[in-house]
Amino acid sequence: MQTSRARLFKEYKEVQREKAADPDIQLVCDDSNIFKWTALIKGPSETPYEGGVFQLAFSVPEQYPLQPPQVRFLTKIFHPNVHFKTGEICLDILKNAWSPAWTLQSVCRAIIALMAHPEPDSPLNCDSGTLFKAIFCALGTSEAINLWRECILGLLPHQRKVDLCRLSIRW
Amino acid sequence: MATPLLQLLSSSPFPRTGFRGPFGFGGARVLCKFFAHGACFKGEHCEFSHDWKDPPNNICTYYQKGVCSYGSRCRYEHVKPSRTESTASSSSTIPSRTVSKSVTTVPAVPHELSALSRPFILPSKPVWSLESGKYDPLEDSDVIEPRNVKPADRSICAFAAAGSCPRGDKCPHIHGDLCPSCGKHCLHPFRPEESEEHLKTCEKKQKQLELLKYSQEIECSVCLDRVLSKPSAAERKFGLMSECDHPFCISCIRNWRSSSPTSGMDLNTSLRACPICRKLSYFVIPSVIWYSSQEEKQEIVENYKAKLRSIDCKHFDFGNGNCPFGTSCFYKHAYRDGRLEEVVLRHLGAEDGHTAVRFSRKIANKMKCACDLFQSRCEILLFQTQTPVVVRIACWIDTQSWEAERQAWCFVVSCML
Repeated sequence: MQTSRARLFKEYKEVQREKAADPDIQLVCDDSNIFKWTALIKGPSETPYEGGVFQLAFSVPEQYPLQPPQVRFLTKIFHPNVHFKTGEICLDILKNAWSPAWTLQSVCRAIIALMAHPEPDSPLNCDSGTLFKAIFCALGTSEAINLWRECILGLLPHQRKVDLCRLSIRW
Repeated sequence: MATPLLQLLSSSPFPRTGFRGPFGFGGARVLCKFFAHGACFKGEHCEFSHDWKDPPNNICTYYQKGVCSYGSRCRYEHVKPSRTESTASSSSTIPSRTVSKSVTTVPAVPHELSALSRPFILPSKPVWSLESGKYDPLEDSDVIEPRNVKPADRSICAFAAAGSCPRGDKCPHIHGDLCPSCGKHCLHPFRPEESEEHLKTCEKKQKQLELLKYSQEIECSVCLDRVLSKPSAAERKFGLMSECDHPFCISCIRNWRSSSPTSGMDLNTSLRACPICRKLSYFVIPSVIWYSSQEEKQEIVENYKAKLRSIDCKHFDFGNGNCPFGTSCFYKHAYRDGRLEEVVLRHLGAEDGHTAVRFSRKIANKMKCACDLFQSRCEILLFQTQTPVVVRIACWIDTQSWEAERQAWCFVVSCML
């Protein structure tokens, strides 16, 4: 308890000091509870999430940093590794590959990297995973990115999605 | 600094007394010896005089009592109390102090001791005022350390070594050469082995200091604190990983390694791995200092292992218990009579061609390589039950590869020994 508090306090100071260093991440600690944090992250460039700002909620366990923080998206996001309803994130470093050398800041960075490079083979959002695979299997990269963007933004008609999935099964 | 003192001394009308009181004979105050050497903690409250005009008391009382263990190297004057002196001292008018010029160490003489049983007071007038008009302290110092002794036998001047000697060139002791590491004049020019030793220890100390300075800055990436700024001494230790060079607090890394694995966490890939580079380390070594080279690390590890080897293993318990770490235990496995445990191949069970042997993990890995090398049809199943690593070697040997199998076993045995 004491160690986790001390460590979070250190991280808080670090975040205050390096605010300007990483403009994509804005990490804020709850005023009354150092175990609750929120973060605003910018969607990585050259991805469909570019231009968007996503809110994350951190819940830090008392055994931190021996145990990973629990992170979920508060902003709705269509991503193969994020549960669409709960915002739960499937990321190895938040589960079995956690190491105490990670900080909240570096977790944010890992989540940004996950947004840029989805892992469709271990999906939490099966529809998104299948669709992602379908699109990237069937099409060239630039075309796929555009299509994927339309998908995420909800611009793609349902029939088109179904067609794409059928296509991927044939592949 | 030396000259005014000498002049004062030469013109001083006050006696040099053997008394250990603030007032010399005739009520004159005696110069404080601490003040004379540069610093007196008592300051103005000192009962001895802090006035250069007052004469110092420079007489070795031990010598007068019979034995001074410093002998010729004593910094105080070895003045022999003579019979005439003790009788004269009562009147304190006849200055007849005899200075032993030739004898520097005098064994206890009974008749002198008996003379000392009476209160002893030195003569009021210094002997040099009779012998010569001007007092030369060097002459006096020569009594302590005659110039004609071999230079190697002369001791080094402590004042010069500490910074500066008030006597300068006239100092009877040898002013040492400058030590490049500590910046002090403490190398004896005529004792090469002594100065070499000093150089060595000084260099080592300096290195240690530099390392400590460097270590102060190192942060643990688990608690994000500087390792050496922790509140308790037990926490101010580094935990060295055996296989990589990332620094942690010993408590942080031990906590992490012993924390219960959450679901899906593998002991070897996450908990025993370095939190930064994920390289698997089998043990961590506590150290109060961080290292700058692999040799230093090796030295720390060896020292630690040597220390543990001298401690009896509590699991082994002088042969009564069973140590789960077996042959790779760092602690001493010895019986009550001092006999060390014999290293033997332990066959845990042999059922239909399966031989299970207990090994340390390292050897198991080595063995696996060996078996791959020999291309025998050995199959090694490594499975791990908490800590002893039980390696089960299942060998399905056909008669042709019998030689390969034999070689593999030879290798195994050589690993064990």
